[in-house]
Amino acid sequence: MSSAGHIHSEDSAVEDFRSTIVGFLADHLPPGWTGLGALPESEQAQFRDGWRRTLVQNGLLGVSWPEQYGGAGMSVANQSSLAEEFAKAGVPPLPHPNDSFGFNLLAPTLLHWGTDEQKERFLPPTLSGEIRWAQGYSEPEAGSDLFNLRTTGVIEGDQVVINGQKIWQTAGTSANWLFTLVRTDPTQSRGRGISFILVDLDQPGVTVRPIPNITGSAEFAEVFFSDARASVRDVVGGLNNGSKVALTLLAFERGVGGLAAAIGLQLELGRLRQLAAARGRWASESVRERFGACRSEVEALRALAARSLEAGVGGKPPGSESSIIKLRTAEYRQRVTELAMDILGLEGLAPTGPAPAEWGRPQPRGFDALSSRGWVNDYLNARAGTIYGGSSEIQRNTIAEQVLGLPREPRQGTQEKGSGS
Amino acid sequence: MSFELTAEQQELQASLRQFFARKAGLNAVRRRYDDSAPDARENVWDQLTGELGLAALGIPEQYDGIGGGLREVAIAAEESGRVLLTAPWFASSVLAATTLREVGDEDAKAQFLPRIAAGELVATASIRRSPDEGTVRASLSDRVVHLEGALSYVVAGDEANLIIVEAELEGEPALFAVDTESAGLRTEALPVVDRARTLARVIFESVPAERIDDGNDTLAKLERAHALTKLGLAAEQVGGARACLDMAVAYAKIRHAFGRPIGSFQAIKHKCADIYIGIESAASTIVYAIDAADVAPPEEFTLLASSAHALATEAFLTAAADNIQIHGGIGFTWEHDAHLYLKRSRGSAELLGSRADNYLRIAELTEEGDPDNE
Repeated sequence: MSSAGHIHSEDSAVEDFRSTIVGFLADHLPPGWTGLGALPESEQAQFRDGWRRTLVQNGLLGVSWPEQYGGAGMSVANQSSLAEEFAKAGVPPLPHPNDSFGFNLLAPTLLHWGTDEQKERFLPPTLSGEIRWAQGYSEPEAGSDLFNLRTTGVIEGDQVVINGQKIWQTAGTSANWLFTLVRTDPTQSRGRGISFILVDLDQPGVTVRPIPNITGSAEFAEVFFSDARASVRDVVGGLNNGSKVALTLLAFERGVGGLAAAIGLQLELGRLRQLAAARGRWASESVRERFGACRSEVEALRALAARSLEAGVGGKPPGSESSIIKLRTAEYRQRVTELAMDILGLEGLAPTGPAPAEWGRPQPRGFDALSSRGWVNDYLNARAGTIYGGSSEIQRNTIAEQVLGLPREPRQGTQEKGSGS
Repeated sequence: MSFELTAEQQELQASLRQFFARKAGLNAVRRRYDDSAPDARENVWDQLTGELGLAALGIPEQYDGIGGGLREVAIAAEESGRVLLTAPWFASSVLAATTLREVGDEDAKAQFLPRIAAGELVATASIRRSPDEGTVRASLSDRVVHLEGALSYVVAGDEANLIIVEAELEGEPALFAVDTESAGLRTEALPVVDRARTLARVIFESVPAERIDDGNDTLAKLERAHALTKLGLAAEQVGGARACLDMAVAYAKIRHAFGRPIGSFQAIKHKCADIYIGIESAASTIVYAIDAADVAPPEEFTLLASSAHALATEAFLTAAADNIQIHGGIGFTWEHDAHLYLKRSRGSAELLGSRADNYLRIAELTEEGDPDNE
């Protein structure tokens, strides 16, 4: 059966490009390559470093950027093909943990809101990896309710003096720069008076502390600012305009990663089938039914990704697809990892085997399907998916209010207009 | 890929929605549920097939059809599902016409499709059955085929003039056409919960039947026809689910409790969001499967169709049940329309394959040649 199938485009240019990527992979991967997941833990970091260099040398990082900043000005359709072929080959399109923040969040923001000077100063080092970004939005008192943030930025001449705390910075300990939201106008509240600013983490006023998660590893960090300093030149999008900058971040989602993600989910199911068969659980009709239900869900996510990509290719603003995909993917990964735990049974209580290569997403191709440690880690990490990047509750609120037009919950102390008794 | 509707497809959708709202709304369904008029049948069939040409939609032009594609048929199925269309369009133009088109030989297609397109012939089909749907055996003697057995849950079986039926002949699956007036054939309407869709028991006592497949790859063709009809049903289910969502959201906006619209409470809001998400997931998968129908390998298409069908079943069951929940007490009354959809959602969940059937089939299909299995 045509597995990990891509949508065959009727556009021969798109299919030609896909072939060049397949050729590139054949040329640059070691002989006998079976995927990043097959590499021993000790070799993974080194491979990622080398692979990143290869991508930069071949113009395959920052592909959506304009050429003047080292990008390829690549079309949405080709970006998707690139990601899909990488997923099939088991190589990362964004090799370092900080890369997704630099390339998917910060760079589009700069390209849209930044001055030429800011683009020239920050894009090339982001590409080279010299600057490694983390995102500083959440605070202890401001997660889902982002605009309740309290970190302050006081203008002193050409500097912004920052005091406060950010939390849940993914890859925070390996980052050296932070794009963050601070309150620069204390007379305003909530979303008003906030600025989007770039901060160098390598300074005495900044402390970064890792936060061990339930698997014991520290993908997240918290960042403390004690009279930390940033430059007024590094405010992006204008002073006190930060909430607009932050909100338009979502509009940059062009659906390019969805089909690749579906390939990753399908590969994960292939491994789950191997596990079930090896443990004698494939004979169970209930296991096969649950497996089939998971696969139907993967097809739904693939179809939604294709729909999102079609909108992106057509230059249309994103619809509700990205919200649906985020929510449904997170809940799906909880379900599929729960199935894995049920298949493992007692073995899941004392797992063994290689450590996972990825957190927060399916293991790349080549990962040992029979590694109970991998599945247990995936199960534990899947709990975070419904919380970060917009919790499932917030996603549902957004869909209900913005798509279905249902009324917002009134704030404390206010009355809804026209409410009967 | 073509998730967005073309201008013509949008026109088709709009005109169908208008027509159904005017001529085939829930009043027709209500008459079926009204015990004081149990045999009432609405006369919308002539208009559907004449004025609207609906029966001709998915039939190729060479057989006097309109030549619409799978997407057009899916659009029509969805609109019909919104209003729980009682006319036997699904049986005739989706089940029977699809089966004839995919599995029938040239003679059968030329003989039956034009009459189905014109609405002269109401047809239905019974292929790829689960054990609960009964068995029919074909036997050949003196070059005449006779069918023997009994089938149940045949959609519109008591309304059809023609039944297309799969039966095993000398150990191989074959396809037959049977005139319902034939000697030895008896139909009994079943006492259905979903009165908007008739189901029948069909008894064959040595019924002469015409073989209509050519014997080449019949099994593969039956599988494909089955998958295509699943997509038609899935589209109908999505239509029903959308109607439920519309009802629920409309109610949540106007019904007040504790001083505000109940839709402002998260519990209600989240239910509505989940109904919407289920619908969009199913609807997108249907389109994806339709686009794959002519290009993907058969196993992949079967897997996609089974996925779409299961997703649509989930979406409709959830939408219909939660629609009642959101309406509170009145949602539980005979008078309110919500139960009409609940009952349709339950019926559709079993026709052409249950979720379990679909999931097991999907699992079976992933056993063979999985990419990681090296």
